[in-house]
Amino acid sequence: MVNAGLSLILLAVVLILLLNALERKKIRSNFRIIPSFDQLQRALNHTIEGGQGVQITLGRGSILSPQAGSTLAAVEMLASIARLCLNSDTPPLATSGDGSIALFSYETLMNTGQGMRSGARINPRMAQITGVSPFTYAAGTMLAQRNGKYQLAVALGNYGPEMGLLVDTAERSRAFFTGGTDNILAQSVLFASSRSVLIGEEFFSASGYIHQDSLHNASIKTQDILRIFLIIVIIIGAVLKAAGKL
Amino acid sequence: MRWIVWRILILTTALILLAGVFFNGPILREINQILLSWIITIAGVAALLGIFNLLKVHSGRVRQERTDWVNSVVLLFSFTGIFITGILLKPNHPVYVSLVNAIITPVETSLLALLAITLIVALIRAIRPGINGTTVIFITSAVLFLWAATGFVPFQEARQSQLVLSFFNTLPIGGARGILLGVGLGSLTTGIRALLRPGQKADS
Repeated sequence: MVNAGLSLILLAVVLILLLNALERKKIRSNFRIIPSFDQLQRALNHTIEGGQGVQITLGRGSILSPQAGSTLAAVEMLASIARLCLNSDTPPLATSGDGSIALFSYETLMNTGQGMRSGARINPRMAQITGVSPFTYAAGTMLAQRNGKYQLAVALGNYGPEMGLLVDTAERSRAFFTGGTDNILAQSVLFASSRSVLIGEEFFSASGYIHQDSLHNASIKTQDILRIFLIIVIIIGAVLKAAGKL
Repeated sequence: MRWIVWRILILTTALILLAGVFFNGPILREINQILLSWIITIAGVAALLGIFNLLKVHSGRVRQERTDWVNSVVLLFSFTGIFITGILLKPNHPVYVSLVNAIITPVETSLLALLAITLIVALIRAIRPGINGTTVIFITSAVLFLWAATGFVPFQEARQSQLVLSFFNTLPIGGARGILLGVGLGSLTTGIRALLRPGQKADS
């Protein structure tokens, strides 16, 4: 079992490095169309052109917890969106429910701002921690969303069912909402309440759809290859079990 | 140059922690313990900084008299009260525990109740002209499973009914496992991506 896990990790590393080397000369990859990303891109353009702000909610998955993967994906998305809207009339707002994520998001905004040719002023209020327990975090984020300046709300990372409250607040403020999470319960709540949902692994590739580069493309392709590999293994396993050989 | 040193440091730490998951040796365990205790200390300091950030943001809202600034005043007062009580009584004191529970539990229960209503409204709102196939399947399955959960299923003891019910029971389990596999793969590739590109400056 340990060897299977380690082999999967090594396989993923090799595939990403290999595909990254192959993708380096390519400028744009043709990914499958995910309607939520098209809607998000349109909402982003509309929001930035209108001088409105973007609120990015990064969840509560601590960097020390098994949910760190979803937090990393959310932070990547923050960097991709910040590149587009840091110089907008209304600066973006990153909210989180954990101290380490708040620091991480502030650092990401700083790095993104410094990397921009035009330069951008970052202040600590752009990366806020709005609560430390699931519902206080949701309540704090709802309060920040009600500001009226934010016409686009993006919620990615680790949440519980309280995510439904964020969707409702965004709808009430007439803001476009898109979200994705690693939690099954939150995902079902999100599916019931939002029109733009990123299901399963889709949200891990979100930043790759907004800001393409070779490493992102390679990791999305690796994800697809590994998924096909796992599907084949599961089917073979099911057939062998049905035949009584397993 | 400094960038390469950081990169090597991050990769080495990650590899040591990963090796600790798969291999079990006394030296590796010791190094992992030290690294983890450092990380936990840093996370603790980060949580403290997060609380300072929360207070700074809300005191700013009160100073500038922004929308809903009264909520921020309530937050600042309750935080100060709970903090001072915690320092004086210690966090395990029964009075302190009941004080915190008396605030947190009703607030969270109210929000949960609000969520239930929000979900019902969302489900009703989803039934609209131009509804897509996936939403139809979702609403149908939600209604079917709510019905099954009540226990009032006719002929549920019959063998055929049992077969149909067990088939329908496997559908959400299969779906959930599929989504979890996707999430696992996504976490894996995101983690590797972050390790291969630690702290890279953004290109505008």
